[in-house]
Amino acid sequence: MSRPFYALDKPGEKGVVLGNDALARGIFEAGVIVAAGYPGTPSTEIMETLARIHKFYPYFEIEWSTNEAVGFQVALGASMCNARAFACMKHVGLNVAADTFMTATYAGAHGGFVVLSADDPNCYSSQNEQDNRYYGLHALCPVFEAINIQEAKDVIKYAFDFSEEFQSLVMMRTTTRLNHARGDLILGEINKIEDRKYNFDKDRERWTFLPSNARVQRVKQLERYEKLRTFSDNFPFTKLNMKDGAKIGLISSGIPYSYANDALLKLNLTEKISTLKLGMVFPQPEKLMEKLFENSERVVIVEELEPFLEDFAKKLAFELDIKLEIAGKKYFRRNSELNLNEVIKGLTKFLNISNPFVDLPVDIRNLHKASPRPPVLCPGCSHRSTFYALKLMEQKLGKNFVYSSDIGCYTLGFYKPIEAIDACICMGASIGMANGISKLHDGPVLAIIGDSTFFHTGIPGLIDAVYNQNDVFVIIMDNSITAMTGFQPHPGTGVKITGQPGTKIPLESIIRGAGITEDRLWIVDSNDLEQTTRAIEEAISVKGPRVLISRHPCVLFEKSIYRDKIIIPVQIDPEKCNNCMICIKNFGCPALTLYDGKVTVDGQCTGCGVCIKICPFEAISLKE
Amino acid sequence: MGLQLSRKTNMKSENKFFEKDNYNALCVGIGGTGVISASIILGWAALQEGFKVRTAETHGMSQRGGSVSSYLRFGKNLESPFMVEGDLDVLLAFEISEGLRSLRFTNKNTFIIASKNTVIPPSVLTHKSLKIDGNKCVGCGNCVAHCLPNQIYNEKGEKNYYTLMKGPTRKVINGYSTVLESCTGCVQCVIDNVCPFGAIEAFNEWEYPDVKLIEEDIKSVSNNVILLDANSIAIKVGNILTANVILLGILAGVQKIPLSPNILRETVKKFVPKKALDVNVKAFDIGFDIGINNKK
Ligand SMILES: Cc1ncc(C[n+]2csc(CCOP(=O)(O)OP(=O)(O)O)c2C)c(N)n1
Ligand code: SF4
Ligand code: SF4
Repeated sequence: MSRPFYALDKPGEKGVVLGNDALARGIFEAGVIVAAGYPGTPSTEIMETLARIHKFYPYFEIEWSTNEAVGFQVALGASMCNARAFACMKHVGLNVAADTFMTATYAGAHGGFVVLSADDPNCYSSQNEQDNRYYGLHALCPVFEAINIQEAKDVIKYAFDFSEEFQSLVMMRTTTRLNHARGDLILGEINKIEDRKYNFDKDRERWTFLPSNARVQRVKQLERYEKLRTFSDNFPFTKLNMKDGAKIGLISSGIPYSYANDALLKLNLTEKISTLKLGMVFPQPEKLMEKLFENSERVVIVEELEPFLEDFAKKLAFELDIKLEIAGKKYFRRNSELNLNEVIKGLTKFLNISNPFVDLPVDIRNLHKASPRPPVLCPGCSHRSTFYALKLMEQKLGKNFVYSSDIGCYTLGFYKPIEAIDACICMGASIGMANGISKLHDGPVLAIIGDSTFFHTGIPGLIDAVYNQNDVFVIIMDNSITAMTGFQPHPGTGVKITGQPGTKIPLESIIRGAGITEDRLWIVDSNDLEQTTRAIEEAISVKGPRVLISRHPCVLFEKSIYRDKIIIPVQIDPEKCNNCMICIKNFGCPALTLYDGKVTVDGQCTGCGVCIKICPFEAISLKE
Repeated sequence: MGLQLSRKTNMKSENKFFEKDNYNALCVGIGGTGVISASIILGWAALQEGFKVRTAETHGMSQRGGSVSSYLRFGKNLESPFMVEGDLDVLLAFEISEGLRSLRFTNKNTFIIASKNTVIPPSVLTHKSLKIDGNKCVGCGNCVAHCLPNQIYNEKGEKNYYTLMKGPTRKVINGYSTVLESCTGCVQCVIDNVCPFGAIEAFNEWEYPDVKLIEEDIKSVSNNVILLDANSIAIKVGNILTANVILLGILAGVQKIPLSPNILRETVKKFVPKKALDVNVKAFDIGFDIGINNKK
């Protein structure tokens, strides 16, 4: 097995790597021995890369946890034992872990403890674009950012030293643009870990948050915070770059700093503007800011999403009683992400100079428009089959279902042609919301939830439904894997992140344990329309909490592991096919397409055979 | 031929011919067709040339047939992974409409290499429907009777229990034939010309423009365009997945950016699967020859 670049023990070696690989490398170089998390774009590859490094350096522990709260707790427990520990999640994952996080930050870290929050400005693959720098402020937890791939590795590696020195938890905050960017990286030394002792630190007052201890820890947290505040000016990745005679200052951090840097280059302004680049965005470097303020008439803050730095800068200038103009969101958008064009636009407006890049060099106004390419369920996806069965039964039974959904590939059932999903807020909310809807709405109320999500945060909602006798019909879309984020195993898969076997927990054992009796539980093969529709019909006819496990492995995942499996696609008999388009319009498998005006099966067909059953003219059949 | 030429080339490209500090490239296409790997190969090649490298990707859920763009910048003095719109040196499009979508990054000197193959988004088909011209329709109901999906709906599953038709496709309402939600967009009524008054017209909410028109659009923005059917060439080479490497070969051949052909070729060899090494090298060399022949 040849070693990937990021797993080489060759300090000084240069390569081009993904942001997430660089972060994983930094974590590994730091000597982390426990890493835990839950998948979530754009953070997922950090854990997967660590798992690949683990193959060559199996001395550390790594796990996909059931959810982010558990992942965070696992890392916390390891830190209590003097270990360097890492917790990995996307921004909304920290909401799940927040209860632990908010109090753990009182106690701080024993072994170096870094939690990574991968934010997603522009909601590329998320339900919101919350700005998690506020969690730092909220919990008085230092927040670090990096401007490029090299820094990503260096900053996160340093974060563990920092965490131990200050006995503080650290949040590494990234954004999609860093996680999924690539850039040049020089490998560093891999820290040796042999001489550490790992034992639980029996500092009982520190870890036990009874009110009497909590009050003491709260004071300690504030003392720690004061130390962090003064240290921020000396943070090794924070740089004040004063320019002689410059009356204008710029403050930025992370990827927005890289845009600001290049915008100044493009506008030939590098010598005319002093810059303050923050590596630690909370607490902010007050002395450096003061110096910049004192020498500037105007300061602009280039940051994505909320006016986090801007609000602080304004407050600081007020406290220091320095008169100058501080601006940020007045010139830069608050929603979505920035890019080089946006930053140039904002800067030129701020400076009141003309923007040489407003007009494109080519006139594209009269060109044709490329059709949009929204994501769709894959060809042969078993979720489509379950949705089709549900839609069919809605029509057959003459009822309208309410679909309270969760997050996963099945959420794509919102779009044409399925158009089922009525609501989806966050992971684990489907059953709880359905419980509430069922108390008022007249008609069947369904909760649609994936297997990984059920383990993650779905179980309490089901227990609530059973306990309170809510009239909800829970459908678990069990494709045996966490598909949306790229096929991570979970407790129902029974395989660990390292590929080693774990203990498999069958969904039905949990469902039965939650009090769903046999007459209220159906288990079907999603792709068997006969079985699935019959189960739906039966389930709709009873009241109270009931569960259907619609089970079929994710076809894309299967394809990725059984690469050589022979696929027998379906065929369409042109004699029988009337081109009615029902299969395309009402079922919508992307492998069914139009070629020369005729309905045709293309090369993407997985041979699942579901469409065979739905054609009114029996024109579709399996190829011999 | 490609082989000999690349052997003659120095290992490092002669940077003195290239005056700019930084270079910008963009690879676009559909998920799973090697867009990202093409950009990784270019990035590693740029690293060998001693440049700083920055890339950024945008993709929806690419495994599910979405657009993928990989922005690549390399040079001596840069930090941002994005370039300014209109500042592109090279555009590699592995699917032609994705090339069209990215033209705002180009200028008249941008070197555009685009593969003519098309991947029509499935959503285009599910957004097909009909329009009925109220001024022409007299409400005779001919089209309602003729519509096959409508008949299937009326049979309510007698033909096949598992056929889903959510409702009638069309009805005469207030004296006019009206297209309803459930129209499947088969447009057979238009093809069969069932309306005696020519009131029905097919329309596509989301149109995939005709390939010829896309080609014209691409040629209209830049003076340096190579259009070819890379997929067909790749199939002839022996593996459709080598289409991206053909485009890289062309880029090496035309020498519009300071990456030496030899370094590119070696980097391709490093990054393609061992099993597919030979076809990829062949694909690169075929592309290289095309590039040399198109060198202006
Ligand atoms: C708190 C939180 N963590 C992670 C994610 C990212 N995420 C979106 S869907 C999903 C899991 C989907 O798995 P599953 O429910 O099994 O559905 P599938 O995609 O397999 O159909 C994850 C992890 C999220 N949106 N919120
Ligand atoms: S990845 Fe799997 S579960 Fe997701 S849409 Fe594709 S086949 Fe379905
Ligand atoms: S058998 Fe039918 S439904 Fe299944 S992948 Fe092929 S075309 Fe799609």
